[in-house]
Amino acid sequence: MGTYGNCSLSNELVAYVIGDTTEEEKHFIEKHLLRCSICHREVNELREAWNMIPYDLEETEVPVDLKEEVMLAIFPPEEVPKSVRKWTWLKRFSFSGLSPHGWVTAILIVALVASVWNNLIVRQQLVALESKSEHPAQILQVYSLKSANPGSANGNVWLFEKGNAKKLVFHLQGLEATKGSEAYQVWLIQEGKRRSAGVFLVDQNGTGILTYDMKEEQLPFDAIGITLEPDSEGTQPRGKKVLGT
Amino acid sequence: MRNKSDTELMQLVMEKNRPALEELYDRYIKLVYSFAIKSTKDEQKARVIVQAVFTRLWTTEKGYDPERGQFVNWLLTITRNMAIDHLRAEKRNHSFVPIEPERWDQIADHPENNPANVVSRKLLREQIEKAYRYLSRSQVELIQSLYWEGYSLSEIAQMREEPIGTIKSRLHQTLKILRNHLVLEMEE
Repeated sequence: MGTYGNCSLSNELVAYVIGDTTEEEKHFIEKHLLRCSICHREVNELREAWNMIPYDLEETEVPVDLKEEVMLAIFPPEEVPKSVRKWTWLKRFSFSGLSPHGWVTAILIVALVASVWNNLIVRQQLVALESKSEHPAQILQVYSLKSANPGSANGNVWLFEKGNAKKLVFHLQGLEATKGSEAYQVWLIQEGKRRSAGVFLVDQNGTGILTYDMKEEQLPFDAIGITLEPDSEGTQPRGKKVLGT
Repeated sequence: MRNKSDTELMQLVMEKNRPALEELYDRYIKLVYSFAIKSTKDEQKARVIVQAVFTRLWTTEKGYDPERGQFVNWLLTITRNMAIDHLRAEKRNHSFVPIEPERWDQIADHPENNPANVVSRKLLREQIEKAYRYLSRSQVELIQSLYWEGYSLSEIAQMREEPIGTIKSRLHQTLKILRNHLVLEMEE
């Protein structure tokens, strides 16, 4: 280090300018600079020159995907900037000097927005789920049901397949209105054994519908019968047959 | 964002405004990337440095103080520090004396004197190229190892087997020549 005051510091000044000094040296030079205008000026000039060096750069073409790469690293995908902004907006709104009454309103608004938001998300997820499992329905077989007694009752049954699921859809008309606890019951018959496919009631026009999910292990059946039951709780037919294949 | 100043944009970045960061990226990516390429001569390394620079802008707690000089010089100081860190991490086997990071308080006190305010960057580059012609080979090499490759003065003295005083004095002369020729060019 040069002698104090005679300004033979030039080599130390340059180390100071580029930041290549110890804390002690730095402190020493800064103290000196306060008193020596010549060195102070020198330091400024050296800094200017040092700071000019990068402007010598050849401009290089920037890869087009670099911005996406950089932004993706700073803002990972799980961070959704839109909702963050919404939240700060709400926060600002609710913090802007509200009366106790206003606070309650603000909280209710926040809760309302949150629940609507939540609802929308759930709905979107449901739609997404539904559309994901969307398979075209295909009719495998159609059955006609005829009245077992004199009358105008009749019906159609469709067996259709949608994806892996098989369903039966019953459409029945011309049936008499039920009384009390009475109900119509559908039976699938295989080798004389009957199993229930559900119960239904009819409207004032005598029309009833029913759908039934076929389980894999329940297939197949060779006939369909519909009975009028005293109630909707039977596991075997007790009433009279009204319709059948 | 387009009509905001660098200082305003950096203020917004401190408030975690993403579009402001993107605008700064668009404004300065060419400079930062070119710097990183010049420093590393390697695209992959340059990408890492660019990443580090913009991450630093996003996470800095001190931020940019306009009273201490131009934004672009602050940004270049960060870029240089990141590049040096990267180069040093690569060469860890050698023992390096680390240069104190972020000594950007060393940057010009008088922005009105800063030639960057006077001429456009492109013109400035031409001026610097002209000034470089007045440098000797050893002076150009010194700038390369010191500025671009981030070696410290004592490391350069060791590598060249010269006294550190000689290196300092060479740097002093080099900066003087650059400065004098730049000023001359500006005044023409």
